[in-house]
Amino acid sequence: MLASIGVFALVRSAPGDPIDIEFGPMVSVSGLSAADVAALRAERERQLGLDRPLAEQYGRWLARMVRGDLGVSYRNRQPVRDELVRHLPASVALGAAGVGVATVLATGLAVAASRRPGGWVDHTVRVASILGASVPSFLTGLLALSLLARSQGGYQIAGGATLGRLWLPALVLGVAAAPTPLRVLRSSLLAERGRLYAVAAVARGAGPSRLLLRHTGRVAVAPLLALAGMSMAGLVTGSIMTEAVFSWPGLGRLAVDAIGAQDYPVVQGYVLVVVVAVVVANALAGALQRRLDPTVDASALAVA
Amino acid sequence: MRAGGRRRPALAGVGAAVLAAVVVAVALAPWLAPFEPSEQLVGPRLSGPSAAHWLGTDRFGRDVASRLLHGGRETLALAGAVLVVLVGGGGLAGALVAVGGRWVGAVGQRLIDLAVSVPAVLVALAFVGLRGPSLATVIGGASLVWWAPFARLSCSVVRAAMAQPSAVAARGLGAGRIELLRHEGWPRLRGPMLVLAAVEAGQLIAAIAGLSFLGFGAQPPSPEWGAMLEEGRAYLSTAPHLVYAPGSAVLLTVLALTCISEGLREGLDRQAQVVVQ
Amino acid sequence: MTPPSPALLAEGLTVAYGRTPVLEHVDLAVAGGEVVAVLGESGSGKSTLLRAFLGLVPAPGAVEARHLEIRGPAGAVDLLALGGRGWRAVRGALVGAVFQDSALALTPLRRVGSLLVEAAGQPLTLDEQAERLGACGFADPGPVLAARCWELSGGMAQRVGMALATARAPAVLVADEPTTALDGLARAEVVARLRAVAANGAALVVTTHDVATAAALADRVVVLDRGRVVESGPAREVLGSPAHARTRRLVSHAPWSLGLPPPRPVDTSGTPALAVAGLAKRFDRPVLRGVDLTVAAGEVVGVAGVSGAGKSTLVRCLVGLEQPEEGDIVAGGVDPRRQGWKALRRRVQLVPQDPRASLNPWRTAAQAVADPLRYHRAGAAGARRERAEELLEAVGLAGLGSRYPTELSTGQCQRAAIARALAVGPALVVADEPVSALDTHTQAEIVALLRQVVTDSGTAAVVVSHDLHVLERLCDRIAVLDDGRIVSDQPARSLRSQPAHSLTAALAGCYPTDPLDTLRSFA
Repeated sequence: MLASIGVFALVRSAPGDPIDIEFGPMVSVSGLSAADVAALRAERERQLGLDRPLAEQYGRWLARMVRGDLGVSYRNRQPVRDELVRHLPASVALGAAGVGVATVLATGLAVAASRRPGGWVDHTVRVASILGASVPSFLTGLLALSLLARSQGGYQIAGGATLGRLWLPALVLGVAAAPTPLRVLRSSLLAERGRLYAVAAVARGAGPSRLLLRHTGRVAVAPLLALAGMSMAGLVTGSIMTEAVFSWPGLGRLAVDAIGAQDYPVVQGYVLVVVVAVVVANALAGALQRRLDPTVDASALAVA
Repeated sequence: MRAGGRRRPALAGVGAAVLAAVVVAVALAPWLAPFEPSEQLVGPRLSGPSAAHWLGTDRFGRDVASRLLHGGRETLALAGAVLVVLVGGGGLAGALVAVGGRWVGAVGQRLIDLAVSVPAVLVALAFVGLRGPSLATVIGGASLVWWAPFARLSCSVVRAAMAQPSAVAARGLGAGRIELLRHEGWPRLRGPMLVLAAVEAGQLIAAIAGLSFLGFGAQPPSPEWGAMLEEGRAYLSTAPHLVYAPGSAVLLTVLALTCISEGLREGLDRQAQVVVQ
Repeated sequence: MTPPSPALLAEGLTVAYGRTPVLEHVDLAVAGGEVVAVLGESGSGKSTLLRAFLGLVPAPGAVEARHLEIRGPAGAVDLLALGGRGWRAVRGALVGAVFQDSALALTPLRRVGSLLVEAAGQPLTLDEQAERLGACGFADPGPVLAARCWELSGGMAQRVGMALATARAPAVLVADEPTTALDGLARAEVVARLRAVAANGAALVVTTHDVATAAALADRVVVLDRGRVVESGPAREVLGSPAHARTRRLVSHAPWSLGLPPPRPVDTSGTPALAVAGLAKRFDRPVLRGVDLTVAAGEVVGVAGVSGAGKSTLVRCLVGLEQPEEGDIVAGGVDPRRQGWKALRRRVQLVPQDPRASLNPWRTAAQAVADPLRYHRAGAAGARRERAEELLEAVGLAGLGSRYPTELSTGQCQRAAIARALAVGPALVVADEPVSALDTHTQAEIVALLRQVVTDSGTAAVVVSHDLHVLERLCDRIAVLDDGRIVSDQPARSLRSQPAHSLTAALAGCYPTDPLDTLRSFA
């Protein structure tokens, strides 16, 4: 609820009269007189309902959103909703693949590193994690492209959203997303291993793998869930960058193009959809966390 | 105990040294740079690194090294200033939400949660979509939500601090909220906040560069690093130095910040362990 | 008759971290069915000893011994020769462990039943599981089996911990401080259960710093001081007539060995320091159900009770940290409903339970003592410093004002906390378990200090503790709190001879005037 008000306020209150934007280029090109422009503006205002009180505008806007009418793109006159839907699968595929890569990397490396803290595996993982966290994803993408595009029969730089092309951007996205969960999971595992219940379990005869799976693992995962909701945001950001670099025809690409072309219904629709998705993801993560670990205190996740 | 133990705090020191070097170089750009960043045709176009031009030239014949030095100024200065505001404002807001009454606490918490889940880049993009691209727009838009991670940290740390036995004892003895914040909240907050600030600073710089790379931040002919990357993208195969130079600059800065934050975090964890024992 | 070979044998056991020895040349032999108490203060190496028997000495530590073996049904196992997999077979099967805080020793999210099956090492039917839990003191094991460990109360967790440790009937059971921080009734229960385990044939090694527990439980006593055995022998001898100076200090320098204070005249006319009537407080369940308590000026009243009776909540209400739903509190003439809670806090000050944790680690002792003066804006900066110095001297910390809590011992921290509570000259000091976190002989010191300081300053006090020995030596009157209500309130002197309530009598029984009277004889 709050989010929708936020988006509406953002869109409506941002300086830059929408009609000016719509008309802007047209006016300068067509050379109409000032009076004519004013008349046209008034007409269009009435059309768009911009002369009504703000609260009413919000209400009508909200009703339209709920019905799924997101407006019509300025550029190609297609309904925004259709545009979004068309680009959605590509983004979802990339996102899911990226999350998969990140999860596998983070879990595997965290477990390996936590077995012997201070060992060479641990050091290597930490160095890799620092590197992975430092390199901005668009840079990784650029470098990856430049390296692989040179080799013979390597990666296609441009093209559609095919499975064959999925692996590289997913890898880039995953590598960018992995370091934080990796660090949290590793330190969580180590911390739990030192707790009394873990020592007690070992005293009852648990081996390292049983300890991990049936004792510390469950508790250590809890902070990760709190992170998961937050990582939606990172995923969105990452996808925008990655899709741009790899020319991946997903939502991020659509948004970037739309902004460039000042196609603001599309921008508005994109922002709305993403914000809703992120808020829902956070709520889900929160609910899941509470279900899985009833002992969690909201203030438990201090330093992220 | 372990051989690695002594290496970790050094990590922060190394990071800090690198960052300091970058900041100094960038700050002294007008005196260090051999050429003007916008001066064209000081050398052959698209030439690689050479004695005259350490990092080569771009398609307009401008000296890349000079552009790099000057470009950093905008980004780093703006990022630094904004970061201070975000950390200070966010931190304060979070602390107040933590100690405020029930109303303030509930509403504030919701607001923070909301702002934290919205990707800052998204908001920046939205702003750009409406106001047109510029570095200021990007930073302004991002700032709208980028205070949230600091607020969230501050809120949860302060809340946990208030539950500590020493804080409860102080309250029982008659301490007021301000005293509690100063003596119980602040000492527990400053370490983690510094770590987070370092992390987010890196993210901020990377985001600014990324958005400029997409064409939404600093506009040409600004020598901002992200913009330089965008310009160089087309020449990836023919003149890769155009991408590698600004890319390395961004990477180096963010890496330095990440090292600082990791080193600090290690130091903090170790301190916490000592206190427990 | 040759004595049977011991179930647990350690000869020349030495554990060192690098060049720092934690245990040196410890000899210990425990036969099946025998209970040995390892007595020592914190830092004497007791826990390390147990860890050596479990193979849980942390990595940099090196364990060496001439012999270290456990004799099980299948013969003797040399613990020194065990590798990772070997230890995994031994732990739980040959040696079991009971930990100090059982609630923390259970994996929070797991169900009790599943932990039980895991500890037993073999599949168990529900009936078998229920049977085992029943044997450990559960009247209705069914719902407990299905509960998740974080939902268990302290007492329940204790019993579950015991069931898990004995799941495979190990030859040796080690228990780390099993009675610390437990009230008398709970302690008696633990002692009884441990004795039962020994009666089943297991060799028991129990570490403790509490002489009373050792006296009630052990056949033999081994005294550890800084990693070395300084005395060992049958409990009756070691505790009854201690030879070594260290043992003497532990045994004779305890709260119960202090003399009872002479009766003091208490002036009940005039404004009472505290008048509580009908105090009620509930969280998700009612904790206090109508508490009435009056403390005259200068009087010291004790509040006794078992864990869960509501003592901590009462303390919080008295100090103004919690607001009661019903009832009146008037302290030192201040009614918080009319004059505000901050005014109440000026008249009532707190000595909290955990001495070290209640001191801010970033403030020196002198600063901490002066803090209440700052909070209540009493006096200028210079005057505050002087007062802090005065107070520190009064509690025996003269010259230590510039030290931080990490540089002070726990006993010294508690002294500072007491000084802090007296800073603003309150009408009433509330002491919440003032000595339960301390070693036995430090307890005696602090009890003596508290008595002297309270008498000298003429402040009234409410002392909350589960330890009757402490209350008897500090208080003029003792009230007993049970399940949120005061069930008896009588002068300290008459408590043992004429207990006003059955619970009072039971408590008095758990804290015998001389715990060493209950020494068991070695058969």
